Amino acid sequence: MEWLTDPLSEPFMQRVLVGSALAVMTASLIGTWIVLRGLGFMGDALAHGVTPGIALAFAFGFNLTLGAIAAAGFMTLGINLVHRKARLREDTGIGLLFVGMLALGVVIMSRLPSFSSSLATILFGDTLGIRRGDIVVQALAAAVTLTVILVFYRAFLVLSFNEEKAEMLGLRPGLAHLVMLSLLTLAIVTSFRTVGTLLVFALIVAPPATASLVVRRVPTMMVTAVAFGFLAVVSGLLISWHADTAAGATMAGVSVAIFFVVLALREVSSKARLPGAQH
Amino acid sequence: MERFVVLTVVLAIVGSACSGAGAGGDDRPLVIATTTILGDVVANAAGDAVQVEVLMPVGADPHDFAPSARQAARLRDAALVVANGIGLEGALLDVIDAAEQDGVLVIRVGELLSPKPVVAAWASEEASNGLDPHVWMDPLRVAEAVDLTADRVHSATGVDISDSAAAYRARILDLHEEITLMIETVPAERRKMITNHFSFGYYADRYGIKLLGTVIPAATTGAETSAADFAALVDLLEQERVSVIFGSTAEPTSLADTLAEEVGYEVKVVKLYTGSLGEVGSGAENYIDMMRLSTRLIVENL
Repeated sequence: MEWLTDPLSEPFMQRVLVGSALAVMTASLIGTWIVLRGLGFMGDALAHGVTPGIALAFAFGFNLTLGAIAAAGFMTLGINLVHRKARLREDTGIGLLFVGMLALGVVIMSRLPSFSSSLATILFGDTLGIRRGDIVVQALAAAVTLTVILVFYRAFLVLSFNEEKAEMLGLRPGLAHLVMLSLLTLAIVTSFRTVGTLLVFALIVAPPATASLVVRRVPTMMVTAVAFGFLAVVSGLLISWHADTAAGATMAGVSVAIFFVVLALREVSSKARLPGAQH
Repeated sequence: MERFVVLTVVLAIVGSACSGAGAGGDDRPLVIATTTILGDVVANAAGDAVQVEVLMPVGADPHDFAPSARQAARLRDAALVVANGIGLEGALLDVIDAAEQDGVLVIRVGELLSPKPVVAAWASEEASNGLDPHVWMDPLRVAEAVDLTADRVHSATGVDISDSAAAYRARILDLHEEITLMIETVPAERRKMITNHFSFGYYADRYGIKLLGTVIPAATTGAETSAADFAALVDLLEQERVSVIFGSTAEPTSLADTLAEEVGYEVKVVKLYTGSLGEVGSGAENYIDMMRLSTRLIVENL
């Protein structure tokens, strides 16, 4: 068991583990709803679209997280605008805003010579640069996410499975949608420091997607997603330790790899149980 | 449920298969350097008195290198971490800062060597904010870095390395003499360079070479070139009849290659070792040889 205990006995590694586990918890909790509602593209676009906000905040010495939140808000409004005014499907608006924001981010960075060296940090994050203060932020984000999901549980549920009915029940689907997007933004902006804007989306979508392969009910799905997220974080860190790979990218990659492993195992076990049956 | 068991077992097997060897039983104080170049300088300055480890592998672009979990944890074992600073280790900065916050002694040696802003004769105002991190391209600054590091090693570990440091410093001063003489063989009017990114500022300054321009308009490899910059460079090349662009082995030079094609005559892209030492057999396995090799290639191609 040395391969497990050696790395994790280091206080520094424990801190990285706790920080990443909190990040993945926030991401997987809201990610479950994103997966259920098929908002994956929206999540991906938001995750990448915060880049110009971070770049501008850096250039003018503002808080990076506030910059990211502003960019996410701007994007959400823009997507809404395209959807309603141009009468295009929502995914077209998302696509336009997504590439537009990402391009803007790179343009801003290319005009800031002293800044571009941390482009890598924004895109891929710095799991290993996590500090004690970051853990507090991550813990707060996880707590807020969990509380809000509990409060809005019924609204989220109806919104996910029967949007028309939500209106009838007086559950205000518009508000629920907005709250959901806000939680998504929270997950993105609090974990971009850990895994980066390019990779944070892996933690939002991969663990819930994996959970959806093995469980059906939404609460179980959230719990299972968090469990798969933890598994990805722990094994990603261990692989980074033993194989000398970049930690954030390894975690994100492992979370996706787990999805395919579980999918394969499910296929194998369902074939074994029902020989010759159509699936 | 059984599939979870299977999954756990599979992961456990994968995990144990990757398990590596633990740390060796070395009692000497540990000094960790970020770049291969700093690692070589520190190892030479310290002799055998301390154990020197280097974070970046040979050939890595120091602007992009991201450490593994083990390396980040290893930083906490170091008596001293020698970093370049001035934003050079772009993807490593937070990791080093976090280690420093945990009580690890860090010396950002570049920041102590009177760094200069990135300024270029051709550039408009926006290219001049920020300091140039490539301090090691000036041997005299490296000689000073040797002294600074030796002091810091002494105060951090109690090990006195001043003798080996002085000997290495003398070798670097010899290197400086050698480079000066080599550059003097180039006629003064031909001492002008176009480089891939802004990495030769200190070198050009020290040895009286005029930097005409850079392909990437910044001191880091992460920035991008605008269309106008690119067009201006093509004009510049043709106007000055420059037939060589100096790139680095640790970074992509695709833009420099394109530039070479755009110009109406043959332009060579010469790759120098600047951001990292070379592989064994490259002739740039250590700092002194690296600088010697780069100078030889510069002199041959100007």
